[in-house]
Amino acid sequence: MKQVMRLTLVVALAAVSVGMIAHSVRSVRYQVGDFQLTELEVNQYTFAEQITHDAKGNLTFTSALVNDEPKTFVQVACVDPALAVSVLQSTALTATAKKPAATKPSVKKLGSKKPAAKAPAVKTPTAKTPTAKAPASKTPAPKKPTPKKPAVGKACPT
Amino acid sequence: MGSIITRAKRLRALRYTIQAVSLIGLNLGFLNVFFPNLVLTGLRCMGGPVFYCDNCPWSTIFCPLGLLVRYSKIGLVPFITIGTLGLVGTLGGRFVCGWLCPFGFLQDLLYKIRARKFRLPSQLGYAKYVVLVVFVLLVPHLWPHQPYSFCDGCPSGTLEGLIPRAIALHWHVTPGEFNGFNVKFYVRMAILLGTLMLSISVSRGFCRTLCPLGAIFGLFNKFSLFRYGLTYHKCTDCGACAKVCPVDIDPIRQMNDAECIKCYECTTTRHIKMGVG
Repeated sequence: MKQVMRLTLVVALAAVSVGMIAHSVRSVRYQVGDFQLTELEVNQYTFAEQITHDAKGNLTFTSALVNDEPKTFVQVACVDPALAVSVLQSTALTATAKKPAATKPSVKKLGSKKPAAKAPAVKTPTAKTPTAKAPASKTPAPKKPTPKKPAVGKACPT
Repeated sequence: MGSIITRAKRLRALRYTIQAVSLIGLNLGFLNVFFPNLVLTGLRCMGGPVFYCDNCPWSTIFCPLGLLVRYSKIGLVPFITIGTLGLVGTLGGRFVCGWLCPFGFLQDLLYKIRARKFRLPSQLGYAKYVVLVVFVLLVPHLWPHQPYSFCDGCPSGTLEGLIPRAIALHWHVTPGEFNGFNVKFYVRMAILLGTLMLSISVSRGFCRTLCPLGAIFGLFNKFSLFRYGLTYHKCTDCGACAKVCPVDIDPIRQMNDAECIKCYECTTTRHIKMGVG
């Protein structure tokens, strides 16, 4: 009897664990600024170590540093890169600081202490540039980041 | 007794081999040195069940404790991480600690150094639950911008993340988490050295007293699928299994205890068997 109870507990716990994973993959979306991210995307982008952009305003969030291929996450085309970054930062901060109740039914909102506040390094997407680095991925910067002027930033003609 | 020692040596050799393979598997990023176009980024967004710092430049996976700390900081629930830990714990309990954890492997090797050995009071085993609740869950959530979370002092993170990054930065290989040789750096180095010194004199000292992942998996030990059983008719209460136990428990009286790392060394005495179900 004890054995049956234990096996039942094992099966139930395993089922709950698998269910949590499946639930997260299928329907959990976290609100980060204006963006809804899956848990894996939060792992990859919100805890990113640096954010780069190009002249078109394509933002590239890089979370793995050595020779890993950066992934383009948000493409804000035809926008001044500096503006794109600052908009991203300001919306993220606004969403967390002033509009915490921005919701959709299946959307989990970000808490008031979010790591997007860690200042992303704004720089051109040259591969493996060791200079400009964002703060530690495990220690989000406490204050609002001030976006730097990009080296190749230019305004959108439209 | 001689055959027990032989069997124990064989099992230990097998365990060390698997631990070494696990270490390589957790560092698949090194393949980029030889194959620069190989993309391993997809794996890096997953939280694995093993205590291995994702700040390591070659790390294949995210550290589950690192993810718990980060999600605690931003006030979210990491469903996938909790689900992964729950699933692995339900299946094997602290099996991961004994067979897969690289930091445990390092401690196993350090304990082989000839030095005076100590036994820890069993009450210290509760400290890891305090570390889990306070430094992994509470402190990061309450003071997210203060460097008091578990990750800020994690000896594994210092060894696998901070030191490689300091070296890499020195060689101008990569940016990352390294803010120079500041006070925090030296504090973390002191914690690491203290942990390594402890491991020389106390078998699996860190795992038994401070490891929050061991605390999580320990909760599953009592009912996990892979578990120990007794062969009562053979037990002569000789204490042989307690002598070979690396975490200083009595496998007969504390079978499947939360401290047990399921290294299966006690099974070499043939009084204890391992099994499923």
